[in-house]
Amino acid sequence: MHFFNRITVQTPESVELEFTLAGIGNRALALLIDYIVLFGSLALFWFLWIIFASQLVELLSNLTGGNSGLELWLLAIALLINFFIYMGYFVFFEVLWQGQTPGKRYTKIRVIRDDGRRVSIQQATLRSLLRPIDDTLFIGAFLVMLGRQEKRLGDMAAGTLVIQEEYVVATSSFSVSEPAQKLAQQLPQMANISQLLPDDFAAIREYLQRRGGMLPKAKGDLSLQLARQVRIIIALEKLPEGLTPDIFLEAVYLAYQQQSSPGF
Amino acid sequence: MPQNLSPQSSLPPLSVGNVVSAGIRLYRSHFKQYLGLSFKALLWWLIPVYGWAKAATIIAMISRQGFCELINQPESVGTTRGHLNPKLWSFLLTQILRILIDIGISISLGIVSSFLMIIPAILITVFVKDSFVGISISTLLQTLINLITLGLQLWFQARFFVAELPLAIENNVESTTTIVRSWQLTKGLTLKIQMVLLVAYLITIPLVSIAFLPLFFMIPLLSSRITQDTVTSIIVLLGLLCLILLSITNVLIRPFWQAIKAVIYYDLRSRKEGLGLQLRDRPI
Repeated sequence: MHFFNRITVQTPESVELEFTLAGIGNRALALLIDYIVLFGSLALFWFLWIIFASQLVELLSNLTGGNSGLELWLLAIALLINFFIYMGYFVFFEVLWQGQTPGKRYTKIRVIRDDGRRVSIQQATLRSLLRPIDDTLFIGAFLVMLGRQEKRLGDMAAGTLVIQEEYVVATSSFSVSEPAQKLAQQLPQMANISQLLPDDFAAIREYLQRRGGMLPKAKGDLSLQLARQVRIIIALEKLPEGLTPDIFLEAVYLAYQQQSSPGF
Repeated sequence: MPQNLSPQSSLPPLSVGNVVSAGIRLYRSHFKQYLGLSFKALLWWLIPVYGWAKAATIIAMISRQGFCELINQPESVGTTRGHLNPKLWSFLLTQILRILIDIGISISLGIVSSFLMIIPAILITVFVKDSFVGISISTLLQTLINLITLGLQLWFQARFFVAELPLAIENNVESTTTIVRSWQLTKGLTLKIQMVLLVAYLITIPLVSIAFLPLFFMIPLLSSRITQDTVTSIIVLLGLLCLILLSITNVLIRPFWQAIKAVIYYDLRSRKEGLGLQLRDRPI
């Protein structure tokens, strides 16, 4: 089963790029975060506006004695500003951060155009204007869940896609213990490290990276199993004494690294 | 025949949004099959005791089918049924235990939160003179306490979320040990699961709100001038309609939740036990 919905895009320079679509989960979470921030800002705005408006009404009624219609005007202006803040939040961030709002930044997704270019203010505004229909009547959610390109009404109107940012393989963040380093020096003479394929090395590396989060018993079983398999692959006959599977795997990891980058 | 389910290759740990998207994609890929199972479970549920056990087993079947899809070792429905039917009564027992746990948690959280809400209310009425400020502060505190209680309920729900999956997928697991295993597997990753639950609830809101639409039509009726009998009969009809719609939405949404459970279970086992982490296909 393919976890990810991939899409190929052709840029104006006729280059084909492949992206992973964001998916309903990421978009819903991003929207939730955005709405929390947005409503917080709107609540703050209304709070300040009410203070300002009540002062203004008091002041003007003291000066002129008649303030018919002033409250209505103030309400109308406040609603207009409300609308602009609601729209402006999304437009501002999607243009400034090249397709990301704070919520989208957290979930690591991005809005791009159909041809892979960045969104400009026209697309951002179109998406924003159709947002009330998409969000209140849940039409957007259904379209994203069921559509092939996961476009909601705003995306269809503006010709945009929402994609996941590809993650970079992080540099290894685990530490190799002392005994493993010593063993790594001796391993090339004792065994045939070159039998190890890059895929095997990747699997060992993955294990060493992830072992911190594993349950102890499962970790023990898995390290033993991996160590046994590695031992068969590199044809190591005699195991040094007092060796735990973890240390052995760390040593193999180091030895392979040293072997494939000589001179360091 | 004990079957050791393990995937051919491992995927990196999934993010919150990707878990939900994967759940939806899993559900969509086998829509008719899972929906059929869910509908059968609803029909079985109408029969007491034996039907409830059957329903619990069928629902667990959906999750097991989903998990087998995820590890690229799909099973036929017949095989899954063969694996799970012997554990029929264990599934019922697990569900009863879970309901008891939920009731216990709700009651204790309810007691604690009401207790917590009374104290600030008393303090404020005693100490704060201005009633407007007092009311607003107490409302704020009450909202805060409500949010915290909701968060705690979600926390417990996350810890026991995959309760029936170990029973359905692993060997040598009983009704009680499966719940303990769910507790064990979710340790340390509860916040992520809580967020998955939140997003999943968010996505189910559209469907559920459609089910509650008949209730909106009731509101104008209550204040109209039609005779009493007609009003009551219309309300009863609308209530029945609402119930039918709720059952339909339940049948539609249940496989979605089971798919999410399967994805989370896969992700947890991948993180905690390195499921699928192996060197080529070497037998020992």
